[in-house]
Amino acid sequence: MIKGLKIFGFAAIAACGLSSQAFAQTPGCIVLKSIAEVEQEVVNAKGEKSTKLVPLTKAVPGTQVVWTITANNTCKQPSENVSINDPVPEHMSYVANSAVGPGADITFSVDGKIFAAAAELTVQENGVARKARADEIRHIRWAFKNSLAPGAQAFGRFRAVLN
Amino acid sequence: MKSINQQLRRARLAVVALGLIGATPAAFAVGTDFGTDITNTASVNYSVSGVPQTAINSSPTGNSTPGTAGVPTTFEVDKKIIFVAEETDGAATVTSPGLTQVVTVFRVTNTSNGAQDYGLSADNLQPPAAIFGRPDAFDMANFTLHVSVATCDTATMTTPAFASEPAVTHIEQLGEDACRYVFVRSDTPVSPTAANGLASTIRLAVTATTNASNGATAEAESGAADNAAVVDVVFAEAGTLNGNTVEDGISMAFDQYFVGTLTVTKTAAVISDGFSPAGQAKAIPGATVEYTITVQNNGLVTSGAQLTEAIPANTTYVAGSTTLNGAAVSDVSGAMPYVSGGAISSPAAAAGVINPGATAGEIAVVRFRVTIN
Repeated sequence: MIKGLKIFGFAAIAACGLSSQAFAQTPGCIVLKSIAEVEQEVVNAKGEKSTKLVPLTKAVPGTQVVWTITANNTCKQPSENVSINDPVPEHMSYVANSAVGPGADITFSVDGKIFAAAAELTVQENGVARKARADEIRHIRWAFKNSLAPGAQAFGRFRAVLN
Repeated sequence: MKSINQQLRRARLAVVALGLIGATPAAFAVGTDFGTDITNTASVNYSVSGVPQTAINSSPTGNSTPGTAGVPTTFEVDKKIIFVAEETDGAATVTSPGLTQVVTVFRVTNTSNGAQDYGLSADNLQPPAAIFGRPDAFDMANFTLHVSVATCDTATMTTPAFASEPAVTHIEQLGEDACRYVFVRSDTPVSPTAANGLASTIRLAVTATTNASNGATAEAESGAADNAAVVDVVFAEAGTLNGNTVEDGISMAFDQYFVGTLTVTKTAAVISDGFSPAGQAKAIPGATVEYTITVQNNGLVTSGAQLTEAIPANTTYVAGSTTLNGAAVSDVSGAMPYVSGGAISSPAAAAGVINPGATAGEIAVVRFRVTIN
């Protein structure tokens, strides 16, 4: 697994290097940010319960982490065909139906190759295809239907449990 | 360039798929090890004015430079301490008055997400309710602790024998999903403090301790928010059993020492009086009376058991009437053989040996007859 990730990182860098040597130091139009938080229950003065996201407290096996990826357009032109890809972190399991992203088509992948709706994903087991479990989802993609206007922000969010 | 990209992509997919198959089940079995970094880097593809732009990778604070790896958003897995101390055999350990270094056995199992040190201590502290149906009647003394060299399988509880392991104060780096047996040795007080049928309940307290402290420094739960770069500690052990407090980094188990000695019972039955029908004989002068003495061992294997028995006043011994476990015992100098003391035993056991237990194969039975003067 660790070996796999290292090779993945190498591949990604190599691919970028090949295609973008000329612009390596020029800022792009999007600021992309990934943050990890946890949900905390708060009780107000009336005794009403609600939840809020707070910076990660203790992260032990079983902790559910909320990952939020934000994309801010910092250019004067709109960005089109904005598509965020995020691998589910190693040692974590995606929580079924937890991915959200306003205005985005969300697809999933078990292998990083075939992206589809979660219910349509399959895995091969003993030569037979079966529906993929949530914890087998390793990649999430948010494809935003509309252009991202200058100064606007798009975001995708999902939950994963630490194994 | 396209073909290079495709090759790279194919290679990385193959490796990721293989990695998933190999790693996932192990990760679920014990939880991710503390100290592991969890990282996440998202990437975004987009176009401007119809022109595809170079992908941008994420950082925790926001990255806009294309063509760089970005900065992974990272946190470190904290330590979730879960463990339990258990008594192994569900029964008291038999001892005798004055017997020293009597061994009882416990098991300590670590299901934390990593190896952990555990400090050990034993004392006479009592559980909220009596165990094994007996109250605590006296205190044991001079507790020592020993970690067994025996193989410990978390799935199968056994009670290994003490093998002269040295006295220690902690278990060093108990692996995740691993266990060790712990021997507690202590001394039994002399009679009458420790007497037949009395019990002493003792406690083994196990405390999660920091590595390299030799069991001296307890782990402390970190109260503040997570420091993503430091392994914090969370106590997660269960157990209101035996008065244990949940999630405090301490687990305790109780065992009991039970004093078992010999129980001697003597009964008399009139066999015949020369006048009444069988079964209705009365204790009149001239009647024959049979005495039955049973000796039961409630404790450890006994050697050197001797019975000394006087012939009751106003009776006369019936020569040659003495039996041990049904076998005749010869008179000594024309007198009942146990008047001057003689060895008794369980049936089929060596002279003087009475095996522990309440069955006919373990109880020693002596019979002899007298006539009433």
